[in-house]
Amino acid sequence: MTTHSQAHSVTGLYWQARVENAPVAVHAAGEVVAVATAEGDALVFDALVGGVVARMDLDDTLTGCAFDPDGHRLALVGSTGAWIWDYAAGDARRVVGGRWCSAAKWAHGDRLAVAAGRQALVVSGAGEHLWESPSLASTVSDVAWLGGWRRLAAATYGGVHLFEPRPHGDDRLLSFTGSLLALAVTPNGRWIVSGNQDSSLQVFRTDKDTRLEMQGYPSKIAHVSFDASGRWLANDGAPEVSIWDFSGKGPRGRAPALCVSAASQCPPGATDWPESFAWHPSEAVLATGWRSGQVTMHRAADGIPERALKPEEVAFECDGLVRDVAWAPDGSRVFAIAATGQVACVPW
Amino acid sequence: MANDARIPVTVLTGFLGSGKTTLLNRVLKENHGMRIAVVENEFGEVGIDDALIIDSEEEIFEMNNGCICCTVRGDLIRILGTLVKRRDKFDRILIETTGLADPAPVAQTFFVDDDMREHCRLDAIVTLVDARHALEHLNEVKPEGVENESIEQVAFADRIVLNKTDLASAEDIVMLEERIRGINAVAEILPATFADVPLSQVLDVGAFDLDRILQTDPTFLEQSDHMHDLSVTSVGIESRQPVRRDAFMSWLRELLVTQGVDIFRSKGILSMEGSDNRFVFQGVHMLLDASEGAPWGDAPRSSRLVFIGRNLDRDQLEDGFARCLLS
Repeated sequence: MTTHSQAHSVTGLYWQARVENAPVAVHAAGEVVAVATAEGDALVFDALVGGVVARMDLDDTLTGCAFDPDGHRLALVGSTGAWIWDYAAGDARRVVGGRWCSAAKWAHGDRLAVAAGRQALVVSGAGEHLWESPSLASTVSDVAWLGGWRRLAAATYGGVHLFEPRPHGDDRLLSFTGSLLALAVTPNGRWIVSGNQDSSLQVFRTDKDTRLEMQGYPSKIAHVSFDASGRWLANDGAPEVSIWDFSGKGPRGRAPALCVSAASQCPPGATDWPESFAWHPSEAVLATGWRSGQVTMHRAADGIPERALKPEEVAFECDGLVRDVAWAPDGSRVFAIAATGQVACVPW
Repeated sequence: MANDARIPVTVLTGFLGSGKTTLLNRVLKENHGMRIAVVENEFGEVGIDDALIIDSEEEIFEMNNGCICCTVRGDLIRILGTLVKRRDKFDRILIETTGLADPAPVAQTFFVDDDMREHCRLDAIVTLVDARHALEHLNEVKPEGVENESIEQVAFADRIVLNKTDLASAEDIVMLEERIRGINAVAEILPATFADVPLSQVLDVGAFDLDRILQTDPTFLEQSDHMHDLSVTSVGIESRQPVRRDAFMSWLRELLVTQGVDIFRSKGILSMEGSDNRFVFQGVHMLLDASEGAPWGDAPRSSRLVFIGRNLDRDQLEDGFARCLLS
């Protein structure tokens, strides 16, 4: 275990490691954590002690990674395709080729949805193609499952497609004239939220076919995420993370419940911005990675920041911009990757 | 720009057969000491081991205000966003567009997207022109409502590589240069055979750098009598009288809002009343970037601005600007 002390009070970390190339995504399952890099290598670490369990070099620029619910297989997406990697067996199977893949999301039932070029695809864990959407208006930027694996949302220019991913299944468009960058869906599928290039949040209520727009952010909104309960939504687009309360009739007419800022003081004239965030797997606690290198934790409950961390404290400070964060499935720790190649395991 | 750590991005345009692939091959194969990431269109034929080459498919998005002249390239936002994470692998980026591409959405993407503005800077739009066949392309009459892309590519350019000059007569080249000047009076024209233009003249030239706008002495005030019937042309204006800043900004914004669809590019250096610094601006359609530039010092103060676009009304532009001058 290495401790790390900076200008602020830092609570420490369990372990840290370093990868050679720029890491772009991190995801954890079981007792392992995976890191995907911009140069195409993927590494699986032992989540408890930090040693490398397996590594794979794919000839691609990776954009994301996601473990299946059992933690046995890792989906990897990149600028030229998608793979399913059984890291224990050392078997990497290409499931999409020749297309830009922005995202991959697993559902229970051994199904993987992939944003593959202008299509959304569903493949089995063994790589068998089960379903594909028609060619859509643009490259699909994100996908999200609704209600298990029976419905699939796909974000494109022009709105959110809601598919029933089966032969002759329904296809419904939640229309919005703009470029959608990211999707978040509540567990009950009632709310779908998109973060957009035009610096807006679009909030679709699927059971009433209504749309609510939240504007006024200074920058595009590239990350949106609901907590496990579906009550709290976090989004970027500003020097702080906005947290919205979706309980009852939703966020209409409400101010954000909480605006999460970085803890430290920046150099004069500079502003810290969130680069990534992730919700605790069962509690309404948000881990945020900042451009300054900070990793902070905030609890959304009742709109009041609480838990042990005071405003001047950070959970950990990486040695560069925090590219991505992910929680361990039991919520006991957070994994942060920095643009410098640092991989840190931070206790919670 | 000396302290600008952002990645310089060159946009390479040119009609089919103009020699883009030849120039691209030179960029990739020559021992020029620069590490260049190339974003090529999906039909690109260049493939060099060890070079950083990314295929792209042109995806043009209108921003949701519905304005056709505020379109951006979604594919470039995505690709350059990924390249930025590999910053240590290259020094500059070259974007090759298809022969039919409209340069506007490419340029506008650098004005609109925050991440691209933060990490990349648009360096120049370089257009290759085939000296033998370009006049045909430029004079081609398209059906109503269809743009002549070759004219737009010339209109948007900061550098025009007049390629294949060995295949055209001296008279034809003079005619072509005159035609190009009629469309775009401020771009630098670089004659070439086999696209053998020095790379230093097309890469990292700072054409979108506000401090270097109109740094060369363009001949944009010279008018060619037989060019008045051109639908795409340049209008240059110059004055030694100080400019009233508020009046100018109001006029310019109103002009770009009402006529931005037709004004492809605009740029200028102005001598503002009460300011010791140059005021510089540039625009692509409706999108505008303006700031204080270098001090005038002992240099003679004057204001120069140029508009390149379709159906420009010189009298209206001159009158509008004249009303911004200190009387």
